Amino acid sequence: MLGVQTAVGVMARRGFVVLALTATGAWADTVPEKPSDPFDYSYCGGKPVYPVIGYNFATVCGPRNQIAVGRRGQLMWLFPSADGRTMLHHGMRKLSADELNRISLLAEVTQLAASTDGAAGHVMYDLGINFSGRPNKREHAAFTADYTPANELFRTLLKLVPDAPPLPDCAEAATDFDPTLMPAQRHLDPQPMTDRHASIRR
Amino acid sequence: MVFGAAVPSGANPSENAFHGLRVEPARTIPPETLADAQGKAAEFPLKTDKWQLVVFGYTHCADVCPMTLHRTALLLKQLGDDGARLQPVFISIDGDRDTPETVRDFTRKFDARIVGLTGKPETLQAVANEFNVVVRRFRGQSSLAYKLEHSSFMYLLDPQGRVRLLYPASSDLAGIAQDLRMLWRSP
Repeated sequence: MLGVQTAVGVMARRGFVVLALTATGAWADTVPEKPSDPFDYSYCGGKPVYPVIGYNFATVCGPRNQIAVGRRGQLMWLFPSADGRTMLHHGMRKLSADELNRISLLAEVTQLAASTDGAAGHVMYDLGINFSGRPNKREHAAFTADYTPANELFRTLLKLVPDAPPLPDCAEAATDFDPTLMPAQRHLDPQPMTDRHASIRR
Repeated sequence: MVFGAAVPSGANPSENAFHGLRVEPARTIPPETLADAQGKAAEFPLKTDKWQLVVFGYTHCADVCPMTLHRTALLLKQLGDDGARLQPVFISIDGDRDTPETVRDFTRKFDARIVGLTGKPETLQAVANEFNVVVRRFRGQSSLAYKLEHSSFMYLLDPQGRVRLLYPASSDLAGIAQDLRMLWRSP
């Protein structure tokens, strides 16, 4: 079998989705099944599968929000309250084939693009993408109006979520911070973001 | 609390200007040594002042590879004289079976201007990995009768060897031609 292990763990730890992605081996091992539709590059057991995509995002004073797309095309979102203790909005819905095709294509080009540096921003995100059988893509970036595939993918996902994420305007100027941390922890993060960028860049 | 106030919104003209998907920041492909149609060492990305349209495939492929090369030939025709500014490149993902001769014979069926490259399986794998091309091998009735399933995108590289645009194999050819002319017009 293809040397791939992927797990989308929806864990109840502090009420947040935790995406765990591991992949080994990007090249072909021989598998006995017949090829599926040659245009379906994400073949897996004869059923359509899609890239696993996860965004953690926040403003520096706001809670950690999460949007994810699962292997079978489910869109999931978790938007906590300002203090992060309760859930403001959360939900899940199956995306249409057209929506998934668009998202898959954007994920494809996001994976191919060179990673952007973690420039300061009002909204920062950490992105993870896993296509079956390929190395993971990680990116830490500021969400801006500029075109990058990662920004465009994020913008597309936000439009598909019926709820608005809590992204309060903060007193701080644009800054670089870790959106996966709780707001109170962000100022205490001992690891400089520049080191962190180096560790998540491909 | 203001919800979503910090989210930049609006249509994105920089993406919509192209029919292909912009790879931004552009990805630089590190050079690898492959084999050309004569079996000589050829560095990829090619050392050329042309833009390169790169596709991956294999000569035993019965469906998507011939179709993509056929469409590449149609694109060259559509570009007319401007076609001289584009270098189509077919890279084999099947180093076990695809020799320089078989790749040459395969590509020439479609258009003699298509450069076919092959090489050692591990080198081809390294090149494919740079493009995030996924390849799966399916057993056939004998050890040499296997089939491969693979990504079928077309990648447009600039003369500096950077991937600039990505196209699904079924993309509209007129759109690709329009993108190329727009890129060639820009400084």
